[in-house]
Amino acid sequence: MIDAVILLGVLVALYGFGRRCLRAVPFADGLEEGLYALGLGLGLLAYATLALGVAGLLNRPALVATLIGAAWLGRRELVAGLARGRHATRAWITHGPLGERVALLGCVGLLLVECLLAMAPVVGGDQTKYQLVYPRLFAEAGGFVATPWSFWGYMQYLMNMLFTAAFVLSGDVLARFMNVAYGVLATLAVFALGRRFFGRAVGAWAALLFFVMPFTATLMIRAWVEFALGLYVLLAVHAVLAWRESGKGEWLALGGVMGGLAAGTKLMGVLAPALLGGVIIVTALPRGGLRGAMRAVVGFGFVAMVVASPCYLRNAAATGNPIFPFGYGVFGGANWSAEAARGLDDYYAAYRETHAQKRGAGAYGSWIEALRFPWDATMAPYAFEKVGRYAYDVGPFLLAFVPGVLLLRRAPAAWILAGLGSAYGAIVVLGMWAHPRYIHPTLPLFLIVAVFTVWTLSAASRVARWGVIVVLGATALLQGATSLRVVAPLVPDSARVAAGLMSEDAFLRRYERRYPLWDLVNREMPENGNVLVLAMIPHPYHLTRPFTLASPLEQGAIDYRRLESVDDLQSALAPFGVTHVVREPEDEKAASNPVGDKVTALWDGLLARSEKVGETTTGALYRIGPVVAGKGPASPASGS
Amino acid sequence: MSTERAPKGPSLPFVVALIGWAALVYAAYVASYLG
Repeated sequence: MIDAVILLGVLVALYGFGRRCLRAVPFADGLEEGLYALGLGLGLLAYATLALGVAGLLNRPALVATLIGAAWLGRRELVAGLARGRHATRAWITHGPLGERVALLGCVGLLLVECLLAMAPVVGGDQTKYQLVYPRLFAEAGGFVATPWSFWGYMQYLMNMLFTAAFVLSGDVLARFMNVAYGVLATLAVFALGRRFFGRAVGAWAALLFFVMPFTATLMIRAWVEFALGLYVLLAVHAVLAWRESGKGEWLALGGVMGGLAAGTKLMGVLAPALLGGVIIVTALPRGGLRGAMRAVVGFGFVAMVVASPCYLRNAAATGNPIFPFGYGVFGGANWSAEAARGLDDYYAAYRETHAQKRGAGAYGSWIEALRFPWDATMAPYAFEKVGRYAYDVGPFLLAFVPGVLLLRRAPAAWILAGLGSAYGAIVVLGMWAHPRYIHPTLPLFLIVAVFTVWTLSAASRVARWGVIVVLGATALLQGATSLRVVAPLVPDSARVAAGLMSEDAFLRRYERRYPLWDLVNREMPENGNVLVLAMIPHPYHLTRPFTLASPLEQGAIDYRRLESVDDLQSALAPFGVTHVVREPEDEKAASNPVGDKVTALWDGLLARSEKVGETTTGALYRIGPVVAGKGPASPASGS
Repeated sequence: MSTERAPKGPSLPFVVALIGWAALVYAAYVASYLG
C-alpha cells in the first residue's frame, strides 16, 4: 500500500510540473492536458534518473529532492489542475454517460486484481531476466554499473530508468506500479484520441476493448516497457492529428516531444516519429509547398531527436554504440562482436522455429508467409514464445473489423491511423521479428480504427447500431473473461501474500522454478563473493549476492569461440573475480547453442574442478579454485 | 469530434462482405478458443 501512496505522490508532483511545461499548448480539455503533462513528467523523471546515474548520485535524497523541486515549480498548475479535475470528475460521475460509468466500474475491478498481482513477489516475464535486474543493481550501487558480461545491463532506456527510480525510492512493487500507471494512462490516451477525432462513443469503446484485452492483463501484472511505448506513440499521433486539424505549431512541437519519448523508450519506438514524419510531409505539402513541408518535418524530427537522445548518448558513451548491442556492423561496441551478433540471431531464429511449431507450422521464411501474422497472432498467440495459452491474446475484433476501413471514404484520420499501424507492423513483422509484443503500439491505433469503422457503418439504421453494440459488448465480455483467466492462477496466493497468510519465500518456491537455487546462493555465499551463473538465458533477479553471467549468447567478454580448455575459461573469468559458480536450471532446449557443445563441455569441466557447497532440487552451488578468485566483484562504475 | 466531413459509407455488397469476413474470424477464434 505504501508503494501506491508513493506512486500517487510522484504522479501528483510530475503532473504539476508537466502542466507548467505545457502551458503554451491549446489543449481541448483537462484529460488531454493531464495525459500530456503526466507523459512528459514521467519522461523527464526518467532522464533525471539517467543523469543521476551517470553522476553517481543515484540515491533517495537526490531523487526526492528532484521530485520536490518539480512539485514546487509546478505548484500553481498542480493546485489549479487538481481543482479542475475534481470538478470535471464530479460532473462526470453525476451526469456522464451511463455506459461509460458501468464500463469504468468493471475496469476498476480488473485493475484491482492486476494491482494485487503486481504486489506479489516477482515471477515470470523478462523482469527476472533484465527489466528489474539491472535497475535494482544500479539503485543499490548508487550509479551505473559496468556489466561487460551482459548486454542487458545497457538497456538504459526511459522505462528502465523509471524502474531504477522506483528501486531507489522503494522497490520492485513500485516499479511494477509504474508500469500499471502507464497501462492506465495508455487506456485513457486511447479514449482521448478516439473521442477527439472520431467521437466519444468510439473513444470509449476502443479504450474499453484495449483495457480488457487479455494481452493488456499480461502486460499489467509484470514490469514491461510496452505500455510506456504505447502511451508515447498514442500521444505523438494525437498531437500530429491535432496539428493537422488546427494548424497550430505548438501541437507539432508536442508531437515531436512525444515521438522523441517513444524513441527513448525502446529502439523500435524510433519508428513512431519516423512514420509520423511521412504524415507531416503529406499534410504540409498542399498547405505550405515543399519549403513549408520541409520546415515542418525537419522541426518535428529535430525536436524528436533531441528528446530521444539522452538514452542513446548514454549508450554510446558506455559501449561506443548508441544502439548497443544492435547495429554492430555500423557502430561496433564493447564486449561484443559480429560473430556474437550472428550467433544471437541464429539462436533466436531457431527459437522462433521451435515456437512456431506449436501452430503446426514453421517460422516465417518469406514476406509472403509473414502476411499470415495477423491471423496467427489472433488464433495462436501462444506460438511466438513460451507463454500461456491466452497471455498474448488480442481477441478477434481487430482482425474482423480493421479491414473495414477500406470501405470508408472521407475518413482521412482513420486512414492515417490505419496507415501508421500497418506501416509500423509491416516493418517490425517483415524486417525485425514477427511477435505480438513488438507490434503492441499498433493495437490501440487499430482498435480505434476498427471501432470507428463499425460505428460508422452502423449509422445506417437503428437495428444496425444495436447489432454493433451487441458485438462490441459481447467482445468486451469475452475479452474480460479471458483476462480473468490469465490472472486467475496467481490470484489466491497473491492475496494470501498480501494478507500475510503466505510468506514471499513460499510463494516464490511455488511459482519461480529458479528460486530455490538463488535462495541457496543467497544463504551460503559470503556477501563479498561473486557467483558465476552458467546459463544460456540467465534470469538472476532473485540473486541478492554479486553475480557474473556467463551466457554465450548475451555477452562477448567471455568469448567461447576463442576458448579451448577449462584453463582458458578460468583465465577469461579472472577479471571478474568470481568465487562461486552455479548452473541455472533452464527449459528444454528451445533452440541450439550457436557456439556448439564446447560451451557446455567447458561448464561441466569448470564444475568438475569446483567444490560443492550446497545443493537443492534445482541445482548446486560450487566454490571455485583460487585461480579465478582474488580480484573482487565488479564495482560501481558511474558513467562507464 | 473532428471538423472533417462525416465519412461516406460503402455500398451494401461491401458491407455484406465485411460482415461475412468478421463472422468467419469470430467463428475461427471461438473454435481455437474452445479447442
